[in-house]
Order: sequence, then structure tokens, then C-alpha cells
Amino acid sequence: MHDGIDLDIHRGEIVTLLGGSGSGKTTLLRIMALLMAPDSGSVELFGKRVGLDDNKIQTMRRKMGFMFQFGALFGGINVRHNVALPLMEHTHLPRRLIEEIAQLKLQLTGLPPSASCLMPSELSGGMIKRAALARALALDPELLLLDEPGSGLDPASTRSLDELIRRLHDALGITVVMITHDLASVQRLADRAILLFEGGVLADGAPHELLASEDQRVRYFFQLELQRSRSAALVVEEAEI
Amino acid sequence: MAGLPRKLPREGVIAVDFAELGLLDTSGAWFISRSLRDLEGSGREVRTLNVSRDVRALLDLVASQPDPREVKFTTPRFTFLQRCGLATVQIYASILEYLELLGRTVSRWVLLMGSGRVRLPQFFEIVEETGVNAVPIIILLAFLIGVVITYQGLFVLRTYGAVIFAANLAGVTILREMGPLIVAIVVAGRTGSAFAAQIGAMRAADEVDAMVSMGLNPLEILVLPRVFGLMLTLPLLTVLADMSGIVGAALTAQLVAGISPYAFLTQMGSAIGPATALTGLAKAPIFAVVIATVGCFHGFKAESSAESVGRRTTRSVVQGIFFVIVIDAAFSVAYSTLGL
Repeated sequence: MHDGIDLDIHRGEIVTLLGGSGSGKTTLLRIMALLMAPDSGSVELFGKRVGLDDNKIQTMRRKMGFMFQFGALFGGINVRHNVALPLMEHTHLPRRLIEEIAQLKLQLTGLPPSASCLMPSELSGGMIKRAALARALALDPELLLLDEPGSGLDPASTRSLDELIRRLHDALGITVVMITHDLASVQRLADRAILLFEGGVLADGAPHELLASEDQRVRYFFQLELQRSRSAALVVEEAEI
Repeated sequence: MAGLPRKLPREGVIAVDFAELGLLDTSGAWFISRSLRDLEGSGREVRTLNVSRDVRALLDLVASQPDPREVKFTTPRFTFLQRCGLATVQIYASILEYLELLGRTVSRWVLLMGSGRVRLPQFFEIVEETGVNAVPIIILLAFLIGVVITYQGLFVLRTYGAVIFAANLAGVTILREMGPLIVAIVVAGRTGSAFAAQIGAMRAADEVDAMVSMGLNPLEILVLPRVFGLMLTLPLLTVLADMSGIVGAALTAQLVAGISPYAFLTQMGSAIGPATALTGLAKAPIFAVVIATVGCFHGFKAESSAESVGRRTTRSVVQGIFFVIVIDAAFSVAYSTLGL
């Protein structure tokens, strides 16, 4: 699917992966998360080259948080336990403290307190996103991988989620790689945007550089996305009136 | 940590020095923030020193949130009596809902009878999946049941020198009871569960609602072919099980007691008539309706999670077998009352 992708992501960067449907964004993210092995080539994480059969992989995974597009919350346990689970498995903190930390993370993502004892099947789409982000943040990862955190959210919620990511990034120095379709998010958040196209990197740079790009295909992509986000913004304005 | 406010002096200002702090995560920040809150809550003055910019940002982030300790779990806990009550109400509601499904299915069936609209492809798919594919397991199990019944019978009858009557025993037991029952139980296990899982998965993916939104009737498309398919295959499988069981019985009589299959079958023919086989076979279509509708019912009751689909599948098997045995008992009583 990919061909000759060579990316360096630096510590503390917020990187957005852009691209049309089927351009391989999710696959690339899954390869970064060590969930899939690349057919050829290699992945280096935290300065070390790793393969899927590496025995250091578990310690690496503990330093990463992955938020799946559709949440992937465990259906059999409630929301707070979903967040508490990685803490219970990987730390020796007392159970009460873990529950408090889990609750704090859920609050940070903006989930109403009453939702934390619900089962995942009882949550709305936006609440699932927040709970999934809280779970990805459970172990205070150094690298946060987000697969479309804003999709399915209203623009106001996307904005507050973006602000949270920015604040956590500033406070903890997390490296963030996120897939998004929301140009507003890219402009608010990203230090760097990478546009994938037909299995390769079409453009790579600061968001304003990409927006000013001369390349026809880049311009075309941004025009379409801009139209979409404008119409979304219009809907919000109408709703506010 | 909860005892911290008590261990520290009551008077003066408490200063917390962060100078040596190298690395802090949100869990640590919460721990510090929680302790500071407790100290301030107990009326002390707390000052923080040498807080770096990053640590300050993190502490502020955590401090900006309402206290997570105040969010209590509101999982309802019920007493034994409450649970009994809840279960009773649920069972009652469940029975009503099941009867509703049964009624709607039958009325749909009656409505369709005149129209001649039959979904033959689905029907044959169901027949193949629930009937043809179940043939090997049914033959094997019925054969073994025939073997076991005859073997046990021969043991007892031998003391009376009446080994030939093992044919009567095997004939009645297999044709009237074990044949239909073993088929129904196997089908409830492999087909009832499949129905529940198929419809449950469709329910979870909103496919059932999609059908309704298109003006299609899920009962007509999903339930009726399954009910009809099973009503055809279950009696056929029962005939097969009866034959296989009798073969097992005759073989055992030959091997254990030296009774020739000819003598065994002649004795069986003189003892029982076609009525015996028919009383057994008559149960099969009823079992079929119950197994198919219970499976479909649990499928429709599934919610939008894989866990719920799994739970419903299990329940469909348990209840399917339960109802099969209850109905079988009812048939026994009815037959003996009628003198069959």
C-alpha cells in the first residue's frame, strides 16, 4: 500500500496525518503503534529499531497510547474500569488511587462524571471518543497516537478535545501523531502536517506551508476540505443563532 | 497518605519544595494535588516552592478539575429479595414478548398463505444449514443412544431370561422418546444458537432497523424461513435418528446377546406399530417451532454490543432445550391421557 515512506517524527511534535480515504493513514498509524509489521522497511521508536517479535516491545507499548477510531472500549466493563485497566495491570498503585486517577483522566477529557460508571454500550459517539482518549492517556504515554479523534464530534467538542491535547502536550511534552480530516484542528494544533497520497508522502511541513503549496494535488485536497469545514462552520453559526 | 494531615504539625506554614523533582506524570500530579487539597482542607497554609513551568502547568491542569474522589459509583446493588422480584418481573415480561413474537409470526404466516410469496432461496439455505449439515452428528448420536439403551436393557432382562424383549424396550424408547428428543436437543444447540447469533449480530449492526426503514418485515424475511426450514428438517432428522438408533440397537443385540438382527426386528415389529413412530414424529414440528422462535426471539432482544449478542446466544440454547423437555413431558401426559 505504501511506497518509500520515510518519516522522522521528533520528540514533542504534534503531527497530523492527512489524506483521502484509502490513502493508508490508518495503516501507517498502526505500523507506528507496533500493531502491524511493515512488509518491508523498519520502524524506530524512541530512538531504537523495533520489530514485532522484539522482547522490548512491551516496555515500548507502555510508553504509547493508541486511540482507536471507534473507541475499542471493552464492552464488558464500565467506562472507569476501561481507563483503570492499564493502570491496574502495569502499576502497583493502590486500587483506590487508581480509581481516582481514572476518574481524573475521564474528567480531563470532558466526560461528565455521571458517565464514568456507564457501560460503553450506553455511551453516545462523542462520549466514546472521550473515554477512548482517557484510556489512551491512562499510562501517561510519551507518544500518543490518535485515529480520527474528532470524527463524529460536533465542532465545539472537537475544539475542546484539541485544547485538551494541546494542554497535555504542553504540560507533559507528549509527542502526538493524529489522523484527522478537520482542517481547523490541523491549524489549531499541528506543528507539522503530512499529506499522504497514493501510498506516498505528497507534502510534509507546517500547516501554513501546506496551505500555501503550489502543487495542484495539494491545493485540490485542501480546497475540498476547506469547503467541507466551511459548511460545517455555517451549520454551527446557524445553530448558535 | 490519608493520615498525612494528622502527622504534620498543626501550626505554621507547610512548604513543599519541588526543586529536586525531575519528572512528573498526571498520576503523580494527582497524588500531589490530592495531598495539597487534604492539607488545605484541614485548615493549614501550604506553600509550594521552586515549581518549574512544566510542573506548574500539569498541577494547574489537574487542579482545574473537580475532585474525582467525589464521584461515587452508583452501581445499584440489590438485596436477594429485590433480585428475586426483578427476575420474576423480567421473566413475566419476557414471556409476554415471546408470545407477541410468536403471535406476530403466525399472523404473518396466515397473511402470506394466500399470496403465495415464498422465499425459497432463504428457505433452502436454512434447510441445508440446519438439516443436511446436521446429518452426521445426528446419525452418530442416535446410533450411540441405541447401543446404550439396548446394552443396559440386556443386562436387566438377562436375569429373567427375556433378552428378546430388549427389542421392545429399544423400539419404544428410541421411537417415542429418545429419537425426537436427541434431535431436538442437538438442533437447539447448533441451530437455535446460530439463529440467535445471526439475528443478534444484525440487530447490533442496525441491519434489522434498516430492513424496517425500507418497509420490509423482519419477521417475514428472518423468522418465517427459519421456522419453516426447521419444521421440515426436524421431522426428517428424527426419522434418520430413529433408523440409526434401531441399527445401533440391533447390532448390540447381535454382539452382546447373539440375537440375530432378523429376530430382533421381527420381535420389534410385533411389539410396536407405526403409531409408536408417529407419536414420536408428531412432536418434531412443535419442537421446531419452539427452537426457531426462541432463537430468533433472543436474536431480536440483543443490544448493540458483542457481549449482549453472546449472552443472548447462550440463553437461546438454554431456554430452547428447557422448552423442548417441558413440551416433551406435556406430550407424555397427553398421550397417556389419550391412551396412545
